[in-house]
Amino acid sequence: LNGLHLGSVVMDDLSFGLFTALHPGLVLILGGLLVAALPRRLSAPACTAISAAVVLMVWSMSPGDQITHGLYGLELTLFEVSRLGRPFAIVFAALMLLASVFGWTLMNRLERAAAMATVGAGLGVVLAGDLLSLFLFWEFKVITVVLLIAARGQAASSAAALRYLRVHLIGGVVLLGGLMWHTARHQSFGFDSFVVEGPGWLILLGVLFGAAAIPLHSWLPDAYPSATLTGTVVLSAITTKSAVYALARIAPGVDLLVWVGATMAVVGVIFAILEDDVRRLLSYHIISQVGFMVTAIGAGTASSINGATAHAAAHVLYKGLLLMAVGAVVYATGRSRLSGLGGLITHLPWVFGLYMIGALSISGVVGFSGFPAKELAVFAVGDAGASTAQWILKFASVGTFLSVALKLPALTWFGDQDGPVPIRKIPASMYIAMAAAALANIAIGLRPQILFALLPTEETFTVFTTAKIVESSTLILATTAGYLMLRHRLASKATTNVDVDVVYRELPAALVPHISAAVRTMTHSLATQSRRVQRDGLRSRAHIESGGSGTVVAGWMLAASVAGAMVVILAVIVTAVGTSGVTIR
Amino acid sequence: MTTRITLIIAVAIVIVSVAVDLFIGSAVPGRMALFSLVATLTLILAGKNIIGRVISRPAGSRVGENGEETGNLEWAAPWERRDG
Repeated sequence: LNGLHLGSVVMDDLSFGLFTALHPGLVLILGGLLVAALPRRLSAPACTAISAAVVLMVWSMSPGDQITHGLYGLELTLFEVSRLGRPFAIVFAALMLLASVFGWTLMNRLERAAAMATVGAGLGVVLAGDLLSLFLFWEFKVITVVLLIAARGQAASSAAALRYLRVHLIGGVVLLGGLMWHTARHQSFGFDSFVVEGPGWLILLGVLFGAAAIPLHSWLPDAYPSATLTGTVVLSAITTKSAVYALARIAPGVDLLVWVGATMAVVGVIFAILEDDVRRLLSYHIISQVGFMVTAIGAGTASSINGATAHAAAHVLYKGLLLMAVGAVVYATGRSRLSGLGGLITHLPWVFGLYMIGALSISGVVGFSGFPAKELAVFAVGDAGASTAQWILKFASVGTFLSVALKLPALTWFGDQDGPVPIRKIPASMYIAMAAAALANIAIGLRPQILFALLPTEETFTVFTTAKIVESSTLILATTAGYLMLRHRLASKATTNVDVDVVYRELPAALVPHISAAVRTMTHSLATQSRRVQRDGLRSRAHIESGGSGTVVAGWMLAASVAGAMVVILAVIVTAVGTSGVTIR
Repeated sequence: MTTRITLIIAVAIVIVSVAVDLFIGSAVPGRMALFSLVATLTLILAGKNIIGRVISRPAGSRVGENGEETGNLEWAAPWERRDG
């Protein structure tokens, strides 16, 4: 059946069977539409059933499976199972299954559909066989993520969704500009044609937007905590990890990434230590952990790419567990600030236990999933000659344990409670999902071969050596001692931290009066020439939501973002045509 | 546990780690103990006292933030009501 033509679809290899001939990402996306249309009582079981089927589909895929589509004379490889993409696809699908159980009683149909479509788009990214297919799913993911954030249904989440859209429109256009320039120059969408020069840098920049690289990161701690509890779990797994996959696919061994990643690891952890909101704290830790992955990708050896992949897979599982556990706390108490939490150990002891499994995993404690993954990534970075970056990652590891395994649980479960808080009963489905994620983290921690068997290249790294166990244990003990000495300084206050998002949060607000005045003057001038023009509304509008919710500039700012992005893309196209000598018709 | 006792424990960890270093002929435990202690103190002191003073503001002062808890006890209810 090899090479069989089915209309415009060429099945390069049907030996993997009809079951896997379907694109699992499209199954989730279409399944999301179905779930949205079903009655409410059926939507939760349908979501879980479809997610479970997709896990089986993804698990049964073999590297080399491929479907190529003809489109307007182009050959698009929308589905290609690579050895790098398969582990990402497996953990994405597994996370969706966990999220569907966790959100069984929480999610409404729109949110469920958006979550499924987001994971479906993420699967599309990691199973794309060329740059254009990757871009298509990448941009589709932006739309689904906006829906997922906005699904919380509050003014603050809608504003956060709009900010996310604005940032990612710019990132997407940069990516598209690079892609078009690249295509004009190399006449190919293939991953193999990617070179880090000219358009390659533009593509890299677009992907780094998605990876939340410093200083392009502030969308992440802004958007993730604004979503629903389940939405945050899904977002933590899909968005940055899709970018990690893309970096590993197109730019392994780019030296710059070592320092980009090391910066992310440290800056993320410093912000996390200072953060008061539990979900923002964990969001900053995503930046830090993705920094580990980006550094390993920059190191560029087979072992470091394995390390980045293993760390990404483990991160999906332990970060999912952490966000589910703090989500359970927020659900039960209605509070998300450490300054308003405390003393929950008697009310939520099981949640504490499950949270700590995630916390010990992210800290790389022996016996938990983060230990083999992080050890492999950090060791490979040093082995590649980047010993300074390796020590920076170890420094970040100290901060990770300090904030996730010491500060957050101490102030949530053991601190003084801020007045009597009625505790809402946590549904069994939330416990089931957290327990399953905890088991997965322990299983990988005790049997790293489960994870290593999925890696892009054969990995013979020995995890359980005396030196590694002693090093990890010493780090934990000494950090705990340091924390106990200065723990009073980490007592949380009701604060918020300024990040680079201040640029697009506050600058537009500061400029609004001036721009509005200028536009009004211009409108008035035009009105004197034509009353009709004035009636038809050349008056500019600046929509301001205020009164406790701050100021959110809508509509025209979005249009300005798109217009700016269009200017960038036009410049790129002109440059591409000018430098490559290719005429685009 | 008082700060003084914790300090004694921290020093003890370093001493034991260095002793283990000498015993096994590897610099891993002592080096990591010192490194982790210094890193922890640096992150807490420099993070809180220097960076924190620059970037921390009272909750709710940021544009676009509602200034309250991320949610409240009813925060999961809207879609339950809407969808139910």
